[in-house]
Amino acid sequence: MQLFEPTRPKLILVEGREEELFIPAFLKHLKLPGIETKSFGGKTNLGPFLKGLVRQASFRRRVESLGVVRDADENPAAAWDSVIGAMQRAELQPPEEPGEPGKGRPRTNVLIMPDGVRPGMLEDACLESLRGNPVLECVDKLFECAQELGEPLPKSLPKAKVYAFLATRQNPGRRIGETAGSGVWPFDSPAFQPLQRFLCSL
Amino acid sequence: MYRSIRIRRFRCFRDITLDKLLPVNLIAGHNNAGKTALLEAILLHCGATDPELVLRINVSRGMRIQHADTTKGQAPWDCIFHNLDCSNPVEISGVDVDGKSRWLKLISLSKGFSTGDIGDRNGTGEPAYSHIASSKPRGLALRLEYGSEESTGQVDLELRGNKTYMAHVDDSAPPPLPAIFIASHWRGEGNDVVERFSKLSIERRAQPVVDVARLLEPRLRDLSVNVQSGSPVLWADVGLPELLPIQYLGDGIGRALSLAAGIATFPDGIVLVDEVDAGLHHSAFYRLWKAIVELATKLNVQLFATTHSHECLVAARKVAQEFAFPVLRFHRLDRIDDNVEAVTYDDEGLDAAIAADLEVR
Repeated sequence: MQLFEPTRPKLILVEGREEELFIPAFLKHLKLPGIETKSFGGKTNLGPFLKGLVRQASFRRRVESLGVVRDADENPAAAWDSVIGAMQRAELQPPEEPGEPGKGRPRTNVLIMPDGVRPGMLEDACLESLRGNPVLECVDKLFECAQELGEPLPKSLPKAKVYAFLATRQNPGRRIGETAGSGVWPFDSPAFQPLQRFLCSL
Repeated sequence: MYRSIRIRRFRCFRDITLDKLLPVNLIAGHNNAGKTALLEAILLHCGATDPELVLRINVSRGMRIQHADTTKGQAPWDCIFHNLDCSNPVEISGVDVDGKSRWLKLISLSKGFSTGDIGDRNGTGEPAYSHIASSKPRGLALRLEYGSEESTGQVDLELRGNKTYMAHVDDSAPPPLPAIFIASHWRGEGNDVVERFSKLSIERRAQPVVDVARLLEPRLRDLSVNVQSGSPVLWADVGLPELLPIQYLGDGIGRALSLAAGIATFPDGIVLVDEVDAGLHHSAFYRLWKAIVELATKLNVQLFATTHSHECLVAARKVAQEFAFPVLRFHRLDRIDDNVEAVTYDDEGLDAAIAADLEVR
């Protein structure tokens, strides 16, 4: 069993498997080397995870820059506070403001997806990046049709639309993370600008 | 039971503190991070009034008195001093769960006495006249100063030739803490386990030890001590026509026996185990930890064990989670420049690290 310990000076912590696949593909697109990505296993696990991580010898010796990416869900401010609190409990010096790296060692930065301001998640940014893609019209009509038939709307409509869009690709059934490296998502879209700025800040 | 220990200037430790100690303390770290040295320091602290412990911990590492060149002023205990700097004393202090503290200081002395017969250095009885020094080497001594809030004391260990002598200066010493150090190697030929088991049998306290051994060898019905060729041997009844010497059942059983016998022999004491996982298959860890932790908590024994094994740690934590009170603490020793630091994990951090497959050793 391969146990994780940081091997590079820059480490990004993400919520789950999708982001763990998506971010490296995005980093490759940006040609940003030397950055490692690791899932912390869900938003409620960030605090305990950080406590375990900061005690690693490799972390203490190697990591100079630490970023955390988390979904805003319904409340971006609460998500921000949650991440900051988890960092403080792990005795890390968190950033004081969104978009501004912290001044401690390691340097810390936080991105609340999709853009640090609006509610939502990675899927919102993905959906936004598809604006103008004619297939989206078909996806919208699919959900309108289901709603007309009395079906309740999905809890997360953006997420549902993203997966409906992915179902129209040549290899349906793949998840966001798995498709990240295959050109499905226009990484140069303005929808991914906040993520790009965050990754470049590390 | 210790709550915290501070070790200064002992072997690789310039200044290290282990705190938040619990009944079971598992210690990890890279090779040469000081895991064994930590156990040795605790042993010395427990037996603060016995200066020969200093020599015995060296013997455990394969170093004997004869290996020191006393004609050059080298003492067999020089290597316990941090960076071999004998001018600064070793200090080991501990605070127990009731808040009481005990301390030990080890000071290297040079005494102005003769070393005795020059010829003894060769051990042949003949004088070694091939090299004649202009002056005789000075005598070498190690002073142990120890104390608690109630009393203090002092004892010197003197080395003359190949012999050691103990000089008591003050007899008002606090009683030693019962402790045992179980080394990483089980060769089976030592009498320690046999003696301990024998003593436990006489006191009708050996059953828990047999039960622990049975976890690794389900065929085991009983253990007994019998003499073979003039030496006491521990024999196992595994249902064969004859009993088997325990050595034939493998290192894992020997390890489990050492551990269980050590705990059972030292109730209210300290058991120090180097490489607790040595010789054990990973599938045995959970069962063994369960038995050991239950026995240790029942007998109020505090355990300090070193390990390199992630599976061993995971199994120990799994057992600890079944207790209603905190029972396990994990510490890692990190060598940073000239010093070794202790990194202690709380339960939350350790559980998250294990769940996320983070390296913690």
